[in-house]
Amino acid sequence: MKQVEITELTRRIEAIGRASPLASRLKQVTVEPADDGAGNLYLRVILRMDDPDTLTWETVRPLVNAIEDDVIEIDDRFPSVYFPDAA
Amino acid sequence: MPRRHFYDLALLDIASELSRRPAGQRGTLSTARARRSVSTAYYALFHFILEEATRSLLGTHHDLLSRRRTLARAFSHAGIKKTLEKIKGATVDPSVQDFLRPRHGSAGSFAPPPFAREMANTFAQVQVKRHEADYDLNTPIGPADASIVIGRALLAVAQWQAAMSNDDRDFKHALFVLMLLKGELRREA
Repeated sequence: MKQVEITELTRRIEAIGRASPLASRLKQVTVEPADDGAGNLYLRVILRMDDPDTLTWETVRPLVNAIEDDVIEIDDRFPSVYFPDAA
Repeated sequence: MPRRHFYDLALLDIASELSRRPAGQRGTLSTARARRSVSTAYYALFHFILEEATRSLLGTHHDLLSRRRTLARAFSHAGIKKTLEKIKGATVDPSVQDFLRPRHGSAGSFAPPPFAREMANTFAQVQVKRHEADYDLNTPIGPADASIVIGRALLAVAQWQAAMSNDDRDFKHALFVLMLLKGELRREA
């Protein structure tokens, strides 16, 4: 199974975020390894943004697709992307 | 003509309704509604795939409804997941390239159709989130995640339904067979 170090994944996703149209709203990137309890591994990618309640699939699509495209090619763990509340 | 008003699309409507605050309620969407919305969106996608698969494999006539529902029970969450993982990347996984290759396609690696890759990645995103929405209250699933999941699922369904060329239908048909085989083709030693 292909796996990249979490620090390297975080660095790459931060770079993707900085190059995205949402760069000015992106405050923090956190990447955590996770599993579903049935042996399936994935990555929890947490993007803390300003005003997350205003986000829609249309606005985040380029960013999420860019993260998926990048990670899928280098790591077998699927990147599940979250946009949590600001609190 | 895309079909409408089936169980899967009704579930998407319910997921969408759950992702919005009830009329008259102030403040942010409750965590419970956001999580139920994500979970319902996953089951909408799951049943959408079952409906599409059984109609493709058995036919669309109303008289075949009972037969389609019987066949649907042969599909599993894990089998669909494993199959769609084979087309999530820029190229189709080598283990199923020959099986999924277009009829007049040349040898070697090839990209999955965009509508299929979008469904694969949408299914993966929503399946993981469904698990966390239902079981892990520590995960940060909020109103934005619910809204984004619904928007993505709706778009993936629309793109899938719009892909109607002969090559698109052939690809879907082979993909559904692969789902029944749980994503694995038999290999002779």
